[in-house]
Amino acid sequence: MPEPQQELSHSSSCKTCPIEALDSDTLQSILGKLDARTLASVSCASRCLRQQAENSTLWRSLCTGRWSKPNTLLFPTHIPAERFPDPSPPGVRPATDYKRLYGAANGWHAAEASLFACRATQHDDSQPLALKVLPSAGQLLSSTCSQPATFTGSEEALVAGSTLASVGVWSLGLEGPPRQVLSTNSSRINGDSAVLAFESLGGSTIAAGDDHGQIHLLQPESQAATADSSQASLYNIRILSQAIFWNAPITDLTYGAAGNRLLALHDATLADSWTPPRGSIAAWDTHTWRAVDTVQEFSESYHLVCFATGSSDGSLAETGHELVAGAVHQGICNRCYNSGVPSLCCHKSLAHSALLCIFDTRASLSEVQRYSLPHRSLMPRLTCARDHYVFTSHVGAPLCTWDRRYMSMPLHQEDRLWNIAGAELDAPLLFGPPSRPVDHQALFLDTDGDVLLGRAENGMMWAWDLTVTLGIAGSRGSWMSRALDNTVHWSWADYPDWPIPLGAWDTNDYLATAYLAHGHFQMVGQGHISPAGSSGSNESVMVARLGG
Amino acid sequence: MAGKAVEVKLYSCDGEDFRVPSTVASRSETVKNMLEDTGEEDAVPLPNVHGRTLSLVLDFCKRLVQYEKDLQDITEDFQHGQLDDEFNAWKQDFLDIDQAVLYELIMAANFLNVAELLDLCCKEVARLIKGKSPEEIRAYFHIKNDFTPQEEEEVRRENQWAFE
Repeated sequence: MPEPQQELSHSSSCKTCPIEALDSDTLQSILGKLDARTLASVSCASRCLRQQAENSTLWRSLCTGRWSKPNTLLFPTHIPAERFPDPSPPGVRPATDYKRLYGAANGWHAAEASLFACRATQHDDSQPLALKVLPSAGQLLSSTCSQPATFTGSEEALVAGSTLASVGVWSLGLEGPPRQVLSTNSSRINGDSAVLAFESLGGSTIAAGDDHGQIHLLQPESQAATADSSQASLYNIRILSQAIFWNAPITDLTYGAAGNRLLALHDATLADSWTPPRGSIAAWDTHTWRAVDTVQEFSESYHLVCFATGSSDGSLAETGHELVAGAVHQGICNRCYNSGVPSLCCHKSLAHSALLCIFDTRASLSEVQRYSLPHRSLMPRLTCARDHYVFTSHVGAPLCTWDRRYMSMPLHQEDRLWNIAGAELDAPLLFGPPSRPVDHQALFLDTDGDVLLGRAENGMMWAWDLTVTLGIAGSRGSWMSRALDNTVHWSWADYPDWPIPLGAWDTNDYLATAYLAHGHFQMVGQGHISPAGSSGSNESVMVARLGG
Repeated sequence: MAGKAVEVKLYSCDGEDFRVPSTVASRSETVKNMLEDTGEEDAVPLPNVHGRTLSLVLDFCKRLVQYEKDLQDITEDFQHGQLDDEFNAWKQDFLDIDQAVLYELIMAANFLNVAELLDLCCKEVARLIKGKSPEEIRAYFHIKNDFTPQEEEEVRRENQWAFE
């Protein structure tokens, strides 16, 4: 029986054994069918296999299959200095070392937290009201920043925050503490109104919604004016719309779900009077600034309290046009109504369960789907990831994961989080333990597609690693095809070490918000900082940079 | 296109000759191109493939043609799964071969350009490697460890995360 390598001629330099004698293409297609651990193991076997198994294409497909946004900037390859003169031309990024990225779990587990705090206000006693991370507003910075040389393009995110007394906007760079690019007193916005919601309109404009149901535009002043004014006052503010919907406060804004439409959520559960307003969504045309559509929940007794665009990255055309909204029944008890977050009331008839409603933004905001949830309460915040998954939070269940292709029951429900206050922990928490137990289980959720962040009412933050369960390898996140492959499916597996406790930023806020700034695992939240030597306490916007 | 009755002759490197229907032989892109060039009357010499391997490859092609024919004939949806199950079970038996034969098969599939067979064999090799430690891989595939101790330590350190 002749050996195969005697029959076939190969140019391979190493053929001590048949598997190494296979030609490179075949070997690559074999290695391409392996999981990451085995691939790493193969690269330890011999020089030839190491060379083959460290092919960047293999690791790249493993990384993009697992993470929706691989942290490519954190893991550059080591490029010999002579090949790329330093400094490298602007716009040219070094190639990514995908194997290192995979080994370091996309930078998340190697997290070293560095904490920055920036004060949202100069007034010590004002409560924070709203906070939002405005993704990829690079253009805004390029037009207003006085030193364009320090500008790092679209890798920066903006954070907008407001208190009763002021509005502030910070930019998060890759390095260093956040820079404040806007600071204003609320008197310049409109007398006694307070901003509750922000949204970037692209370019250099930020829309802000206030508690009187009005939309304001924050725009940079003209170039002539910027020449002799400081960077912190580069914005003028234009009151845009007359209040509609009986002054129901605008609690959320979103832009870009459909062309040139700014969608505003008027949450009537926060309005002073109960009737007649109901939670509604208004669509504004950003060219003409007219309200082109308004929509309410199909059933008269339901209030819309939160919404999110169906697609996290807009990669699927059909889900990018869909708006997922949450609604609660209006039978809210007085005690819950006075607590500050009325939609969390669960003292209703069993039949009055919360709803998930899907609106199509292309067809004049018509309600196309409507699902009843197994809970009566609903945190006024929901978030979507990887086109199909919706995350909601309720008083009794901190996290419900829904697959929009299979809405009859949640994919996964986290029933209760352990009380971390006073618990014995193996490792210290990143931000220290919370000072008090929680009043209810509901979390403020945010996700960048890979990590799900939840912040409890006492400031405690939890992280879920979605890459383990929603990995999109080959199947665009379809849990059905994964189930057919006999791989682990979220609800069938046990995750005893979930979620990861991150620690608390203490807060008095009734809605403790925290966001993930996409791409760099920057976490933004409002916290409660008592500077040494001061008697009072300042509510602040806090930024933590994780990993890297 | 010639009918099913047309048979073609294939010669392996050790002089064995095989007579197969042209539909089966054309599953190999290489053979198909040759047949198009020279016509179906001439015998096709395959100097890179041993007779034993060629007979395995042709077995696979025959079964594949049969499977695809069955697939066209079915009338009910559930039969689809049934056929798949049968074919998969057949593949399991088919792959019950020596490692050395498996590599020959891969190289033959590569040369003859039978995409389905190549994919099947690659999957099988991947299945054999899966979950093994570097030492096990070396032992199983008779790979010589040609790292220097320094290199070995370095590559171990680089891949430490995979062994935790």
